[in-house]
Amino acid sequence: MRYCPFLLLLLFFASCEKEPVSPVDTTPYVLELPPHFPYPDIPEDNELTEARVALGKMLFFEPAMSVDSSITCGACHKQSLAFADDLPISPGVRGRLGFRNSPTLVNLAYLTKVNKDGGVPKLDIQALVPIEDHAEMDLPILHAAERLNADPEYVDAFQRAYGELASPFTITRALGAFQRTLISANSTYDQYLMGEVSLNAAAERGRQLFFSDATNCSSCHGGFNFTENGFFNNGLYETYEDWGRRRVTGLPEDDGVFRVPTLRNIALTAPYMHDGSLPDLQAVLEHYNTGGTTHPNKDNRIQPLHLSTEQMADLEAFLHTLTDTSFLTDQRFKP
Amino acid sequence: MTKFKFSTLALLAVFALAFSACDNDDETPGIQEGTVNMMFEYTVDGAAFDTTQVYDINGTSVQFTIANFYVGGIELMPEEGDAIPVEGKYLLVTPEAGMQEVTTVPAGHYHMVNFFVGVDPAINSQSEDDFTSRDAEDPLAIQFPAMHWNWNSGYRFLRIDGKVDTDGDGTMDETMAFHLGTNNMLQNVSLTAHKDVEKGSNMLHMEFDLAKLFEGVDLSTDFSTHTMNNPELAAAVRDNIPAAISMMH
Repeated sequence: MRYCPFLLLLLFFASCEKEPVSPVDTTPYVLELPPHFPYPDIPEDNELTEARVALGKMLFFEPAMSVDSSITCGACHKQSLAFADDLPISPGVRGRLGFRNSPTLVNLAYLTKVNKDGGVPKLDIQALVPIEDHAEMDLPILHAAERLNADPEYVDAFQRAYGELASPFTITRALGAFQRTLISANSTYDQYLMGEVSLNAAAERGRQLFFSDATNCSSCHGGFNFTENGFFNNGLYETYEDWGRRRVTGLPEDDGVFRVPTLRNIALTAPYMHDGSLPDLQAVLEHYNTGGTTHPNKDNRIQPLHLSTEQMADLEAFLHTLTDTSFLTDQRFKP
Repeated sequence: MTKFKFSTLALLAVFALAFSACDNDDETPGIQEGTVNMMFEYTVDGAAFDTTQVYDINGTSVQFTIANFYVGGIELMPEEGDAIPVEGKYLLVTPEAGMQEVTTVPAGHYHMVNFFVGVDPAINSQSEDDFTSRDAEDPLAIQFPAMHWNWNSGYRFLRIDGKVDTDGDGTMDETMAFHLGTNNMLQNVSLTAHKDVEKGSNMLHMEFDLAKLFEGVDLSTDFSTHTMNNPELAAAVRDNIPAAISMMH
């Protein structure tokens, strides 16, 4: 009885405050990066923890995230293909086809605007797109949350990661956390940069061409991640069925403008371009060698290059050195 | 004994504090305040709105399933003095929403009410407090049916879905979808209210006429826009918004 007033007092104070929400498990997850990779900006509301990354991985490979439980994120983003797919357009639920090629998910942690048109301002809400898209998983995210909260294993995993139930916030954050860990930084080229291996003669000639003013490749595909995250029209078409960034901004000058993708693991992510219309690297090199179409928005760096067959083969050999085979079998990214 | 009494008193004082901490601040004595609510009465050319009903709009048979929109940037213009803005307040207006509380203002005569249909550019950008980080009760949180685009992560300011009979054979044959969004679809609305706000609850009762919303639109041919794929049609509907909303009383 003596303690009763104090207990009551505690209750009164507690009633004024929101329920305390804090993740149960805060063990940090630290990205392993070589010296030439900067540590990416991690949002304050989604610091990387073991529990968040583990939960994100569960969700990534969770069929219940699609309306008929038929596909997972991993269905169109396969680890063996650098988390891309080998089809021009990957089918969603019930075989529905969207209109864009499945992109690689490597080094997404460094992206500033997400999706090919940059319509999503941050990785941490991007998962809404494929989950809700009619031609992908077609599941309203509020329904996804209901499904997950009916599963005690997920309730526990969400509590450990965020101290909350599954919600649009925690689902998208967990998937963001897992995808930030998909760092590919151990290609032959990275090993070459660290002085561990040397490039063969063709790849070395290709490297010099790649970084030269003769090709201008690296002016868009520059930096440690082989992209400056810019948005350009590369002269693929005269008329674009998919407006690209214009779909987001509504501006005619953004017609046919798409995000410049990373070239890391590019040899694994055929077919190429936003719509998967170019079947292989030769076709891509041929496109850039001819200088593309005369679309008014075409970036002026896309010009005929007049490269010889040997030079194109050298460039292709260099692009193959960007393949990171250890990433493809990394146990941490497996279901 | 004295010591005990003191501690009891102290405890009581803390209790009182704990209670008062939960209360809102008292009203300033002498100034009467009234709560202002808004309600939108849905009609189609004067007829009551009903999702089971087929309406004739400009000669085309139409049946609605969803007719939702956001209202923000609300401000009340008193007879004297500056407009009173209701900062950060958004309403998700739906046929079922009924009366929604907007704000509390000093009692008196208000001659105008201004607001916009849509979501302001800062919030619509989703770069800071995006919709996933909002409380479930917040109208700007993720909604079902969705009031956001998944491909663009902005809000649908106004969403009208339904079916239309394009060939007039009595069968609804096409899906109607008017999804207006992006910053240049924000539409200001300014209404003469002449409302005397009194102590207690007050209502701004407005009519939302869907026939006026589609004035000049041939729904047998122009029945769908997701804004970006048909910005002209979206703009035509946007421009009709002020005429579609009127003050009832």
